[in-house]
Amino acid sequence: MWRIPKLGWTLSLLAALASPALAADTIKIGAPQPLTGADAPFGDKFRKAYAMAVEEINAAGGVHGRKLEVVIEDHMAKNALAATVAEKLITQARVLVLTGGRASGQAMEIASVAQRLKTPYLVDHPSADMITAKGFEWVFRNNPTGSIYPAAFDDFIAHYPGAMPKSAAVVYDNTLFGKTIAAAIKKHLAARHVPVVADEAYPVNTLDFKPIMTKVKGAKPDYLLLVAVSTTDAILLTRHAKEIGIAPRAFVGFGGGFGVADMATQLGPLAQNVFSSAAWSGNPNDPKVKAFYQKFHARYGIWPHEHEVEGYSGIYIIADALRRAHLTGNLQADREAIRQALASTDMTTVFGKVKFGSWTGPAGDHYTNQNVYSPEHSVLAQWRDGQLLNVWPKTYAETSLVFPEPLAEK
Amino acid sequence: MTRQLAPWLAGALLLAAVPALVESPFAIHVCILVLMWTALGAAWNLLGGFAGQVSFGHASLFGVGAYTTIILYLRAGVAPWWGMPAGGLAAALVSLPVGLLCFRLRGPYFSLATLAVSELVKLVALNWESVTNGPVGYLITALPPLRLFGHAVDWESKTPFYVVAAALALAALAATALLRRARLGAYLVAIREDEEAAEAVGIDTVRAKVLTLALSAFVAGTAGGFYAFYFRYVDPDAVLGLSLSMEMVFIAVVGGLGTVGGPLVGAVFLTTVGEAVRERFPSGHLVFYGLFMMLVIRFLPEGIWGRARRLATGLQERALRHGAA
Repeated sequence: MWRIPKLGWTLSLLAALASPALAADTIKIGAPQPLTGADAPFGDKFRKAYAMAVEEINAAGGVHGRKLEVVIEDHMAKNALAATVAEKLITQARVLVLTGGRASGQAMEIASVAQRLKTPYLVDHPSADMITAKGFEWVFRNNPTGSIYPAAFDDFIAHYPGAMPKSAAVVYDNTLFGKTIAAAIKKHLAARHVPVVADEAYPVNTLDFKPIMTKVKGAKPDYLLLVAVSTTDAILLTRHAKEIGIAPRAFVGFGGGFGVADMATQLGPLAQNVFSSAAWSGNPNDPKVKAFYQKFHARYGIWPHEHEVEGYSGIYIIADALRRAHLTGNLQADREAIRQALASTDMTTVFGKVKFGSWTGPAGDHYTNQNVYSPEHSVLAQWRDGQLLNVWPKTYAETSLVFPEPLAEK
Repeated sequence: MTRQLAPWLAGALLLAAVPALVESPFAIHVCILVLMWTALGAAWNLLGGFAGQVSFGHASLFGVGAYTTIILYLRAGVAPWWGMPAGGLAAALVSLPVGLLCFRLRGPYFSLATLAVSELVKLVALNWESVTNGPVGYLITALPPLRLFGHAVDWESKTPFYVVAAALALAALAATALLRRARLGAYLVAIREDEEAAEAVGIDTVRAKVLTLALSAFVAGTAGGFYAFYFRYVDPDAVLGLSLSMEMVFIAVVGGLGTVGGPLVGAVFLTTVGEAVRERFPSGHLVFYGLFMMLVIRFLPEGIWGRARRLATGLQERALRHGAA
C-alpha cells in the first residue's frame, strides 16, 4: 500500500532535481503569434525570422554557453487568447523574456500581463502608441509607433525644394492604425500651416471609393494622402482616385497596403510614382542589411520585409541583453536582470540603431522604453515600373524621386 | 426540495474547492475562462435555447457591459465590482429597444437583425471616440485597492477573479433553473414550439421575448464587465467581434439547448478541447475544432448534456421496469 506514494515521491523528487538541469540547457524566449486564422501568414513570417536568428546565435556558441530557444504560442489574433498564452509562457513554460505579439490589440494584453507578472517583453512589430505610453517599465519597443510612421513624409515636405503642399486631402480607414496615422499626418500638416481640404474615414474593405473620391476631387487637393492597412483598399483607393481624374502633385500612401507587390501587379501603370510611406525594414544601402536580405532569400526563397527584419533583429536585441545580464537560475531575479540589461541596450541591428528611453512622441504621448532612434526609422518610397524604391531621406534613397507628378494638373 | 438543491450545493462546494486544490495559476486561468464562457453560454441559452430565438448579436451586449464597466472605472472611478452589475444594467437597457424592434421579425429575419445590430454597435464603438476612445480602446493599469474581512485583496493572484467568475456562472445557471420553473419559462417553450399557437392561447409573445432578452442581456453584460475587470483591456475588436457571438452559440448548442447544465458542459468541452488540440497541433488545430463541432452536431443534436440526461432517464426507466418484472 505504501509503495505507490513512495514511488510517486521519488519520481517527483527526481523530476524536481532534473528540471533545473533541463532548464539550464536552453534559454527560453516566449513569442505569442497568430499561427492560425486570418493573420497566420504574419505569424509564419516571424517564425521564419526567429528561427534564422536563433540558429545563427546558437551556431556561434549561444549565450553564456547555453542555446536560445523561441517558444511560439498561437493566439489566433484574439486578445483574450493572447493574454492566456502570455500567461502560459510565463508561468508554465517559464520563459525569461517575451517578444512578438503581431497586432496591437494582442500586444496590449501581452504587455499588461508582462507588466503584472514582471517579465520583460520586447515588442518587435505592434505599433499602437499606447503600448509604450502607459509607463510599463517591463515593456520595450524597437519598432516605431504609429504616430512616428509619417516622420519621413514630414521631412520630405519640409526639406525637398518646392514640396510644401498648398493643401491636402486625407482619406483613411477607421482602424486603430489608420486613425493613428491620419491623426499624426494632420498634426504635421497643421504645424506647417497646410490646410486639410478633405478629411474622410472609411471602413476596411470598402468596395467602392468613387463617392469619397468625387467629394475629394471637388476640394482640389494639392496632395492626396491615403491611409490603408488592407491591400485591396490601397489598390481601390488609388484606382478610383485616378479613374475619377484626381490629379494632385503627389499621391502618398501610408500603411501596409501600399507597400505590397500586388499594388504594382494589379494597378500596372496606375501605380507609377505613387509614394508609399511604408514600414521601415532597415537601411537598404547598408551592406550588412543587404547581406541579411540575401541570406534570408537564399534560405526561404522570399525577400524579407518589415516583419522579418523586426523579428530577426528582436532576437539579436534579446541575445545582447542576455549576454550582459548575470543569470543565476532564479527565474524572478533573472527576469529583473534582463529588464535592466534591456534598459541599457545600445547597439545596431539590421533594423537600425536601438537604445530604449523615455521621451515624448509626435502626437504628445509620453513613451517609456521606446527606441529613441525611432524617428529615423521612417522612409518614403515610390513605385517605379513595378518596383518600390526608397526615395527619401537621401541617406536611405535607392533612386532619385519623381516630383511633382508629371500628370498633375498644371 | 433537498433533492433539487443537492446538486447545486455539490457544484458550489466543488467550485469552492478548486483554488485550494489547483496550484498552477494557468490552470486557474483556464477555469476562470470556462466559468466566464458558462455565464455567456447560459445568457445565450435563455433566449436561444428556451425561446428558440437564435441571436447572432450577443457580442454587442457583452461589449456594452465591458465598455460600461471600464469607462465607469477609468472616467468616474467606479470600482469594477460595482461596474459589472452596472454593465449588466446598461446591456439590459440597450436590449429593450433592440428587442422591441427585432422581435417583430421571426426566424432567420430575427437572426439577421441581431447580426445587423451587433455590427451597428461595433461601428458606434469605433467612431464615437469621445466616449469609447475609438479603435484605441481602454486599458486598466491598476485596480483599486479593496479590503475584505480585514485582508487586502491581491489583484495579482487569480483567486479573487476566480471567485467572481464562479459566482457569475452559478448565478447565470440558477437564473436558468428559476426561469424554467417560472411561468415565463413555460411561455418561452410555447413560443419556441409554435408562436401562433402561443399567441392564440393569450401569451403576450413580444413581451415575453423582450423580458427574456433583457435578462439574457443582463447576464451577458455582467460577463462583459467581468471581462474588462479581468483582462483589463477593451477595444472594439476584442469585445464586439462576430466570433464572440458565434462562440456563445456553439457553447449553448454543444452543451445542450434549453437545458440548465448545458452551457457549463459546453464551456468545459469547448475550452478544454480547444486548448488541448491547440497544444498538440500548433498550426492545424482549427481543423480538429471544426471536426469536433461537426461530430457533435451530427451525432448529438440535443447536445452533450441533453444526450446524457436522456441516457440517464432511459437507464432509470429500464431499471424500474426490471424491478417491476
